[in-house]
Amino acid sequence: VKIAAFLMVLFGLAMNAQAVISPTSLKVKIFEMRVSKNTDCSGAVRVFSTSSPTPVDFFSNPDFGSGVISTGTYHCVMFHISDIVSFIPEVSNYEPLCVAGTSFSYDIFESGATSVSPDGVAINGTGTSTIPSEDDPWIYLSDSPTAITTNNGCFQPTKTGTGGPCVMTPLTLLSDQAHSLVMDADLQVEDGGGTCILNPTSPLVISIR
Amino acid sequence: MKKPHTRGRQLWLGAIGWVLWAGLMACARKTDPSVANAGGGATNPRVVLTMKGAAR
Repeated sequence: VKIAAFLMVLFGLAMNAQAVISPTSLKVKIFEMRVSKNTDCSGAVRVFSTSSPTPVDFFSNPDFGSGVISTGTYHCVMFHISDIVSFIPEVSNYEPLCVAGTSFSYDIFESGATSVSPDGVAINGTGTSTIPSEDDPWIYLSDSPTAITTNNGCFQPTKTGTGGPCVMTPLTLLSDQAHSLVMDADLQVEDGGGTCILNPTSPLVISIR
Repeated sequence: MKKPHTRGRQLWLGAIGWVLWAGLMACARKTDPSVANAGGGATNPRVVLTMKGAAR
């Protein structure tokens, strides 16, 4: 009876352990933000910029910055970011490579990935998930018909063979407003490459709210 | 009987009045937020956009 009870408890614990888990912290460095009234993100104007940003934790609802721009409808929003993000798993998973409360770094713009700045400068990714290397790509969200959040990667302002913009609803600004860049990181943390990573096959869902 | 230089004085007063009026109009334009900064040309009204982060 004792052995059966022990096995039942063990089975229960195993069932409770999870393969994919959620983070309690997700930090990213943001250098600059621009907005454009054009769906192809051309003619962008700067909202804010800094040359030495402090990583901001999306889970603490941080202020990125603000700027004065003209009224109107903006069809594209773009951010200059560091591709090294850090996150903290909420719980340990069953291996456990992901350890609750421990900070892990992850390269979201690896070797082979390409981005382009609003000024047309090409940016090539370096590093891997296990050997992160900092690059500073731009991410784009637009209301272009070719904007797709799940597969485009967000690193390019218009659709190309290697990616394109993510999806956003246009921002109509007729008075002072605050908006948020939202990261859906729910169940996006798992083991990979001998460490704890953000799920590369189901990228973070990014949106503007 | 009018003094001989009264006509000239009226012209001077008129010129000074015109300059004051033009200056007042220029100040009024600068304080109106719907018109341009320097240069006086009309532009769009301006707003403040604040960006925050959020996650779930």
